[in-house]
Amino acid sequence: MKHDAITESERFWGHAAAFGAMWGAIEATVGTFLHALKIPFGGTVLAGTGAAFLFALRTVYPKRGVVLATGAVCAGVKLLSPATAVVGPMAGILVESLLIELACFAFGANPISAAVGGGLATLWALSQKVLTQIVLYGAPMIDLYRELLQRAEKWLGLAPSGGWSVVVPFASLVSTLGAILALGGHRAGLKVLARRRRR
Amino acid sequence: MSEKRRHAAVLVLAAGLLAALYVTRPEMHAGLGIAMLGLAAVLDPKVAKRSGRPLRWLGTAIVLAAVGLWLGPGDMRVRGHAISLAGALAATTMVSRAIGLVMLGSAAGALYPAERALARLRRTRFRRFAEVLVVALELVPSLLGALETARRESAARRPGLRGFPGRILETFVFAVEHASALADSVAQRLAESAPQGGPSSLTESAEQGGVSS
Repeated sequence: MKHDAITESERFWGHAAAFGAMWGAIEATVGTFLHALKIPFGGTVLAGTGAAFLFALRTVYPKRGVVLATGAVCAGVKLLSPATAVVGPMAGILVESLLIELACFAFGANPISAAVGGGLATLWALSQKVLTQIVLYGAPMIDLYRELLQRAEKWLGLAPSGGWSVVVPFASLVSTLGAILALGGHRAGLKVLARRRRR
Repeated sequence: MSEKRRHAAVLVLAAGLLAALYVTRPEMHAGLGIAMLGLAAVLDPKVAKRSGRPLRWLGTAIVLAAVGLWLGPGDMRVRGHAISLAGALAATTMVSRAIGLVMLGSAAGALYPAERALARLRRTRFRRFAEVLVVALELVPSLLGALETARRESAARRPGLRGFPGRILETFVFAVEHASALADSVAQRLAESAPQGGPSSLTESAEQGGVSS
């Protein structure tokens, strides 16, 4: 029995499936590339790329919930693909898609929500690394980081301020990178829409 | 011993290790972690392989112990320099705890694989999500191939380091366009398969739709 009319639900899940699978493929290729080159904070760059892709999706198909659904599909693909470390990347994907869904919730995909969502996604990737280590290795990990920050401050001749004078500029740099990547994703989505209209 | 029993044995041992870390002295924790790695490798090589290479764990332990020796409270003096035995022991405890947690997760995952959960999901109200997941899984290999082709074509058009940013952007736009085109054909196949049901017809149609777009 052939269906001439596709319901909005089918279009919604069609986008979640296609973009979720593509995001999984991008994670596999970009992730391998970053790992091979041993780029510092490759996880943060990967999160920024994911944010860019999700903003492109939200621009091309502006429906509430599609970003979260795509995240759930991609997390499921990650879970069922052969790999040793799965739980961490899965949690990262789900939280990232939730943050971007929230950023787009009120006013959709636009440059401001892209900057906010991209910044939040990369900040999360940074904190997730630390949080994972705290869960895995235990609370002493926090003391270790604090001690390292204080030593770094001493060597740099900075006033003792509990590490915030190092953490805040670094976090700002990371979230700016995420914002730029997400804005790029939004632009790519606009480009695809423009090409569609021309056809 | 059956495979399931091996997985269960490692699960129990890992839980035992985590409990033991609370009741034993810190000097014993490194030995407990090493014993866990050895036992898992003998009892269940499959789970042991999924839990990371032993040399990597050893490397992590050495680095953290060195950091602990340096940053911990100076409770020992060696040639006039204060070092921390407590810091080094805390590091070995941390690594042994991580080994236990990872082994526990790997054994639990082996005992209850995700495929079984997906099969169960298909019999619930989340059947549509399960079908979508099956479609997405089957699309990934062809999408990987498409991305690689797009990357190579872009590299031929924009060679060298100068062309690198352009190549990234081109490949990214290709990924968005390709997924967008595929979305409509997946939606069409979801609509067509709804009265028939069955993921196999859905996935075959989705792949054909993907190739034609």
